[in-house]
Amino acid sequence: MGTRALSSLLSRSRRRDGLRPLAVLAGTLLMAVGCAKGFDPTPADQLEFLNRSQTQNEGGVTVTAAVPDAAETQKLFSAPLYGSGVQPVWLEIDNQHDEGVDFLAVGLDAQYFSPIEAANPLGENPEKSDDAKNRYFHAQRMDSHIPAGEKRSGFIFTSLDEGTKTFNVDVIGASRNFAFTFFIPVPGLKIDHENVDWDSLYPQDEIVELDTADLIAVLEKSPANATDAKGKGSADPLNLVVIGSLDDVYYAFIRAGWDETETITRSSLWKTLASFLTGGEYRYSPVSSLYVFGRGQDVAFQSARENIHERNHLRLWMSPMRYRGKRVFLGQISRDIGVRFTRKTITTHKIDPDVDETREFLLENLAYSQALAKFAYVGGVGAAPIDAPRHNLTGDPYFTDGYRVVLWVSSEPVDIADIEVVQWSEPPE
Amino acid sequence: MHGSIRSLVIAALVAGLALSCAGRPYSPQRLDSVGFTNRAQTESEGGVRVTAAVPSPDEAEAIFGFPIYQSRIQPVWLEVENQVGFPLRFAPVGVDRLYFSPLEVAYKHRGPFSKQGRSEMELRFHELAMVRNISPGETRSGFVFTHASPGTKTFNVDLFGEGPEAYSFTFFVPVPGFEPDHSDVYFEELYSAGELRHLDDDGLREALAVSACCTTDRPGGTQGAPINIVMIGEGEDVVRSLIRAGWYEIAGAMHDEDASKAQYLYDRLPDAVFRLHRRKTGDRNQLNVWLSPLRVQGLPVWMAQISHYVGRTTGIGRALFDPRLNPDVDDARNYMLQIQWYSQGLQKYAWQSTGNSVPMEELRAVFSGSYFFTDGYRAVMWLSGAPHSMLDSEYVDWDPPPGR
Repeated sequence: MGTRALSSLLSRSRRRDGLRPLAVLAGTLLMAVGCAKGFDPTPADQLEFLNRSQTQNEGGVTVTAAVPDAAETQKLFSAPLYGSGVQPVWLEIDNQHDEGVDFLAVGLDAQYFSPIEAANPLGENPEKSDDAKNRYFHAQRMDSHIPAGEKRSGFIFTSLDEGTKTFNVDVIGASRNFAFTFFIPVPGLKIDHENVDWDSLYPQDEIVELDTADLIAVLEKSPANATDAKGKGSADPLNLVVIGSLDDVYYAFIRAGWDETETITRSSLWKTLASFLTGGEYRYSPVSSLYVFGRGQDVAFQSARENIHERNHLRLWMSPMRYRGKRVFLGQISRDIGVRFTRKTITTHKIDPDVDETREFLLENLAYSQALAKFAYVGGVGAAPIDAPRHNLTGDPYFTDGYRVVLWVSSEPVDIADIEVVQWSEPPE
Repeated sequence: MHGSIRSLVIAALVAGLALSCAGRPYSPQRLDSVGFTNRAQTESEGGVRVTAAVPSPDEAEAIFGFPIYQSRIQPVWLEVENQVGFPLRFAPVGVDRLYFSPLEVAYKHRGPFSKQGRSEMELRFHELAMVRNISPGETRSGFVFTHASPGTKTFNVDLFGEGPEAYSFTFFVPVPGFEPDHSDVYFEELYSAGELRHLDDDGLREALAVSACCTTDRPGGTQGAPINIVMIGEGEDVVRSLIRAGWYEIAGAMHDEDASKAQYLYDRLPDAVFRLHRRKTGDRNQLNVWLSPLRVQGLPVWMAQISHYVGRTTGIGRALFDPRLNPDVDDARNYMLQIQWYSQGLQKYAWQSTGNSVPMEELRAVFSGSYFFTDGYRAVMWLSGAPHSMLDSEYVDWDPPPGR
């Protein structure tokens, strides 16, 4: 617990100048300890993570990918790489295509670390640092060129993503290109949606398949806002409807760069407190519960911007409705723009009062990430003009045109030009 | 002693509170009284006109009533005229994937203003924001709040119609108060007509094979780091391709910050320097560029050297750890080739092996005190100013690509 907390603090503090001196000192101490133990890496084939690998194949090119967790990474490279925000991704490319191909690391992570950078995360002078370590990291790198008929494997040092690691593997040949997308769960976090037993949320006789007219009618009459645990009060407006399978929802939001959310545990509370105090980034911070259908959200996604006080987060509740076989979720999205003090909860995140702006951002975010198949608008929130705003549970004002956006999400990439606009009602101004 | 400090602190706190409670009125200037739209640039395509302008820090302060650039927020003004007969939708994420929402910017800066000032400010930001929907026959304008970037501001403006109709415009807007280093160089006077060598692709390959391997520390001095990048294209196309990939220009004054590390080629300092940050903190790539006397099929050939600083460069980190050069110069070279390709700025490319490989076990020292190792390859890139589809980038088969 002690070392883990320290290393997670370190990873966060790298983003903040204020804590840098601490991080540097702690890092120096860690290095000193590390040096004392000596550099003692474990070969990849002796570790479990390769058993979690995934394989994809296209036109003679076979790509296998695996992501070691924090402890496995420590063994692999004899260094606390997760603590310095570095996550190795193991790749094997088997090129049975009839020409040489190139693998482009930038396509996997535009911010990837060079091997020597990864070996010296605090900016140590690479010539003065452990030479054997530098050479080992460099030797473990993935090659960029794979000749015809050959197989290459190695590591790319990427920016750390806990929860689900998603990345593209772009392989270029002279006559054609190959694109692969991987979604690889990394052990270590307690993710909210992993605890939901989706098929027991409703008894079978409550599940209803609706036609278009009925779905619109029900959505227009569905609650305008979430509530508190007692079903009272008016929390943030339910301005999202998401339609898709469980896979569609998961892949769409991960593809669009949203982070998953940890459930409340001792460890996650500690991490939240630390990032609250330092203003650092805890991307998977538990999200407070709001209530719809008599229960807290089934899943929350979030997207940290500069720090914990500036992030977008969204909550989804699965409804008993089905539309053309797909599940229908009600949801809510807000943009945290700062922190403020309240009488009820002491501190809370101030949300952008222009909730429609945040709603439209999500639509564009999914569209640009090729995660959206079609969209429509439907009423039901009730308009509140800017000069007569409504308030959420913590007293934040918001104004809205009263529409919900209906998002058909897709697990398969959809070209932005192929997104279908469904005319359910006049779109908002 | 303690008492007096405490009373001072309390007095300061009370004074601070009193000041903040009182707050000042919010008094920005009228938009049309700030002349920045005189510098606007316009692009049109099939009935869609987009005009864009970027206010300087002073102009932005006048428009918004506080020094908005100090928060590293840069407002971009857009005007869209829709004559295509169907509604258009503008997507701010196309300009900046993590743009700031208008009321977020207002909230961040509400501090000094009175209660009434704050609500006036909210309203003004809401009203000055660029709208998303532009009906047929309409002209709409407003601001998008982006992350500030030094030097020329580049961004896309994407507009979506019904179905597959979509329009995309790319702008490169100079911001007053910033003069890039290369604006001081008279490129046409660097070489006389007799010094220029006009070549075809094969001739270029031969000329590059015998060109200088490395920089020096002064005219004719000690050998420096390898010249591992060759760029081909008109100056403006090269600059646009670089900026599109995330490189930014350097102001002239920043050039000779450390004479002992200055790199020379053709007996002179770089004609232009570009920088790029891979991540928010820490590392930085630097590209030193010299115009060569070579011309290939009429296009200028630029010799360049890329380096990658991996030291932390902020706060106390600077005191403890100098920015250090990553000895793996090949990684920096490969990274650059890829980002030019992904940003649609690469028309064609080739590998050239110079034979000057330096193995990792025998790091070579450079005069500046750093070291490098390399496979001895150069990336030769024909760059494009206009977007060039990634799928159409052509590979020219000179030397087999580097690899194990």
